[in-house]
Amino acid sequence: MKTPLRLRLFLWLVALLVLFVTLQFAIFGIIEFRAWLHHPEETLRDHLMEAVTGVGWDLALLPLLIGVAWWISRRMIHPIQTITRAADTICSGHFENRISTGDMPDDEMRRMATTINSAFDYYRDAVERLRRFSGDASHQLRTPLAVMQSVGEVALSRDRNPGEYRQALANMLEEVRRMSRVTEQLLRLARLERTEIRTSFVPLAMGQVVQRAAAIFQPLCDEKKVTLRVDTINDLQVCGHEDLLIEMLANLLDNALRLTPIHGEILIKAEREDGGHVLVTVADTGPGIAPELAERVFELFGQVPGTRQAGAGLGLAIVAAIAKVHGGQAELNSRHTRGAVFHVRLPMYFSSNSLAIDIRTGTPYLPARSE
Amino acid sequence: MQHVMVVEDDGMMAATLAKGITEDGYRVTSCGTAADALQVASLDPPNLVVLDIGLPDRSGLDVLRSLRSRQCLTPVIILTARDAVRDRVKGLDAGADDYLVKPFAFAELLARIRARLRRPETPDATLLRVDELTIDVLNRRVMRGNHEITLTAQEFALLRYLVDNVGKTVSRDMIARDVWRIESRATPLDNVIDVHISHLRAKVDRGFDKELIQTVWGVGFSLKGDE
Repeated sequence: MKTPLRLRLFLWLVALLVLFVTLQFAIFGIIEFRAWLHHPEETLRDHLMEAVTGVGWDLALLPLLIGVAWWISRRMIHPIQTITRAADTICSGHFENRISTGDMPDDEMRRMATTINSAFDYYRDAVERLRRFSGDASHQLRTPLAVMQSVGEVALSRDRNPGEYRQALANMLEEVRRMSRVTEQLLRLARLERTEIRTSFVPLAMGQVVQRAAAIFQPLCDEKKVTLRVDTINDLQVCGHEDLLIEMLANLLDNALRLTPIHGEILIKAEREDGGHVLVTVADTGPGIAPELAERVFELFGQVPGTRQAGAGLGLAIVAAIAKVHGGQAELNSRHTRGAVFHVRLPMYFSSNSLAIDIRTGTPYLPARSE
Repeated sequence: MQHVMVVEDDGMMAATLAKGITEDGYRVTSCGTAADALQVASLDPPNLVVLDIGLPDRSGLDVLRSLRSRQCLTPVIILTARDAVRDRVKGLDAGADDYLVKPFAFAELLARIRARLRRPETPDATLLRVDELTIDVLNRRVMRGNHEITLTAQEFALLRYLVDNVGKTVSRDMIARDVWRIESRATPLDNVIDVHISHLRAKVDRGFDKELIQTVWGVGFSLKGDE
């Protein structure tokens, strides 16, 4: 730091004061000079002394004014110093500290401090998520690794017949598939974080997408003696990526099937909702999910309690991410006590809509619009 | 015998690729570096190249570009762990014919190699026969011996796919992509596919001594051909 901001501010204030005194002296000087011209019988010296005396008071007050300037510059810069100190503390590892804005007046400084605080909140959450994510992800990959290691070691620990070797290798491959699945899902989630995918969006009839997903799962429902009810209407246009939407619905149906007991029922429904939305509902007749878990189920590795043969806990996170990339959102309707009811809200596409271009990312998107 | 060049620097991977591809009936040359690959390509031109992108000396894409700049039109299948659309486009721009993402099912690699090396064939037959199974593609009728089998559209498509790959193993990922037309490997379809296979098996094999539809544990399924 060459010259501290506070010193510069102080020097500017002092310079201003000096300029003011000088100008005043000059003006007094001119006034007195002109007075002397009108009264040449008086001496010029007396007149100029008048000007000096006038400004003399200023000069006497100057140290006081300089002191005030010093105080003002200190006061202006003080919040910046507070913010810097607090930020330094936070950066040095005290992630829970925040800049205290309580005693700041409601001005630009306070707004800056608030903005910085929310940036810290954001990054604390991101770091926290990352930390949890690496822990969970390693755990998810560790389990199949442990199985593979044991299967391999046991198989090789003594001579066996070809059938046993085949079985051991098949078991290892089964674990490899499990790991591959988790990896694919994690990559999918990482990609959904970016919005480039929106460039491939096209208008789609959501009713048909729902029917296609339902058709894929119908035989599986039949097999598990679960009734699949499909309820859609035509004319539900959304703008999106068909494969992604199928993937989203497949994850919801897969989840519902895990929760639904034999002879249960799954409903998949797409309807129009006020506010220009398409509402997709997937409801089952399973044990339901406790309201306090409603937020958690969409988190990474957030297992849905009671699911038979639990997966890695990434399916519903993918559902939420796909809904989000389509400008919508997924939620668990926790008011229901019987069965779990998942909703996905997607912005409706009106054929009269033209795509707007996001000027920051250059991607087309649908401007929000209500009917 | 057709010659396949495998360019892969990981020793274990290269040995496994060489072994598996040889056993499928090809002559295989392995190279661990880009320099080796270019040398082999000019001394003993292969019919097909399986190319890893991450090589110790240069990028696999460089190898591909030098091959193409020499007017070499040999089919090239890229193997890579990167599968973002951007990476795919880069590979295809450089002149790759196909793109396989690690980890992949070996069955899938073999299927892709076969597809690239397949000689121009007579137009698709409308009547397919495997063992005592007859498939009338146009009328969607399936007979086993004299016994007619009624299949749903999806089961028919699945059987057709198994017949097209008769004697070879197909993985669930391949089925999801080629029969269900779902590209994303993150879509939970395994159970769906398993149910269709078991239905198909019940309709095609139940009551017959010889089981045509085989489960290849840990890999996928195959339709047993004539022996």
